[in-house]
Amino acid sequence: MDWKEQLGSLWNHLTWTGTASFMLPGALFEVQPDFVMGARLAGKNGDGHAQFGKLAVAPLGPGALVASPAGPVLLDEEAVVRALQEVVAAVGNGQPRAGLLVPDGAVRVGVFPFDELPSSRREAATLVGWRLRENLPYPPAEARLSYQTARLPAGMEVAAAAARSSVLAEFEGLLDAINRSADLILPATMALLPLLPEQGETGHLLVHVYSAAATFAVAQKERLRFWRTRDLAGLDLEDMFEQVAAEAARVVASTEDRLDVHLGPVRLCVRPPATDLWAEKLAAALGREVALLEPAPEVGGLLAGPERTAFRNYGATLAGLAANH
Amino acid sequence: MRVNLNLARDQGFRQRHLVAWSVPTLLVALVLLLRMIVGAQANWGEYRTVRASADKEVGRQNELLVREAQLARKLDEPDNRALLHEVQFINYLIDERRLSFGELTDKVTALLPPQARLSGLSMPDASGDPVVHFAIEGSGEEPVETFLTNLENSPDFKDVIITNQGFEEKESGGAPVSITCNARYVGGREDLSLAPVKTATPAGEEVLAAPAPKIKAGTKAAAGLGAAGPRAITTQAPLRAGGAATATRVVAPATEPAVKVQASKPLGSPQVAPAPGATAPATPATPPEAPPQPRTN
Repeated sequence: MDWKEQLGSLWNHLTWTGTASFMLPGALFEVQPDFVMGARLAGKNGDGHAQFGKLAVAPLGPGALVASPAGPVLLDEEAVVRALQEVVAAVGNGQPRAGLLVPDGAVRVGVFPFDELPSSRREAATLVGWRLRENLPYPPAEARLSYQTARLPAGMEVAAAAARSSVLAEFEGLLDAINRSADLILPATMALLPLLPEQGETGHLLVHVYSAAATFAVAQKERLRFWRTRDLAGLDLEDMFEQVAAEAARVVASTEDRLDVHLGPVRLCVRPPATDLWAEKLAAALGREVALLEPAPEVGGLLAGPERTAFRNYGATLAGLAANH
Repeated sequence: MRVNLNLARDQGFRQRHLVAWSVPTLLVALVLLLRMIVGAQANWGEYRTVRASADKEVGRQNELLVREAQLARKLDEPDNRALLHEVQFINYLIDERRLSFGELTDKVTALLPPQARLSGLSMPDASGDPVVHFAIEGSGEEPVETFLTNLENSPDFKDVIITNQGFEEKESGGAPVSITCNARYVGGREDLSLAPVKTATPAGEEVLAAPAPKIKAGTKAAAGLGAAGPRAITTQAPLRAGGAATATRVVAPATEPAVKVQASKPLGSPQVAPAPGATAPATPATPPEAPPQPRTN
């Protein structure tokens, strides 16, 4: 390690700041390689569920943003900012604190068993980062890490998400451009997990297909058991479906055999919905029930017309965040 | 499944209240800045005052240096240098003109024959050539006469005058003859004419004059001081730390290096200048190492 790396390590040590806990800001944004979405929460409905008052989606040209874990991710920042400002103009600019959903490909997620974690936050984060180091295409010291634990009969299980600080800084810069501060940053698929039903010990496979990428996640009660993201860029819909189906089959087999998890119906979320036949074809390929994961209509109760359509096509993640609060 | 992940930075208390704390922090900083400015101004004023005072003192010092240089130049002028050398010469004379009472006692004792003793010695007048008062007791008339003869022959005394003589019978049978006499003491002072003298030539050069021939002290004041003779310089100043004195220096013409000095007051330390009327303790009649030849009438 040369002096520059040592200096950088010392600087990171001195300026180490932990990540925040989950919170639900009043404005939510999602940036993906092919679209930008923004929504503003408008309080709660009669059932106590948060609901959105405004929602807008703006398309993004190809090549403006790439889901790279090492960065850079903003190849055409002006275009992204322009799309974001367009969304902001539609949903209003009254909320200074915002949440941002980023592409899954920019974030690495892992699940690790531990006997015990150190009581110190910094030491625990360092240990989790050390376990995550093989998944990272950059030094662990450059990663910003967030993790949650699940207590087990013997030991504990940690679900950790890590992204390179420079990549996250690029995303935070987008919100700075619209005078917002990022109080919540999550990979988009993570926002869908609260929409999965909790049925005893039964696990659920979530297949999230969007923006030429697919993420497969298995959740069992309060535990995240499996996570994998595949880049499907350059594939047509048919090939993409075949890849998704093959990968889903592998995940089902691996989960049930290695993790000893009984999986319930597979939950499929395709944004925007490609065809209505994806669920049927995937069910046929997997030999098990596949259900579409769509946002609850009551969450978008105040939305109407194009906003409601956009909410139905893209807003599952936002609905998941609202359900997680 | 509930998600509790968040990759956003934890904006801790410091960051969340950054704006709230910035205003009072700014005000405090402003107050401190103003205090610093006021303090700096006060310090600057004090510095200027001290600097002006220091400059003034430096100016005074420079002025004194200039005056010192002027005085030094003035002192280096030929006339002043000659005066300086004369003052130094007079100081030298004063230093050398010492009257030692112990030496006087030794000389008187040397004149006493074995059968006589000195019963009293006093110096009622110490100015000029001091008059010494003797009281002698002898076993007979002959030792007393011997003393008087020695006294008259001594170069250190002159003008011997017998003031009283008596005969006294004592039960012990000793010292039947006593005599008192006065004599002028002219000895005990070095002949200063032998001391080297620095003189200044009219051109301002210092020369070391040759010493004058030895002149008997008792005749100094009377010898060679004619009316057309040398000029005299009288200095009335505390020339030495031993006391005030008035010394008269008679300087011979430039071609004559002899110098004649007469002191008008007793000079030197108090122990060598006894007060008028002082009486020395009686000394035993011890035989001197080289007794003078007794005079026979």
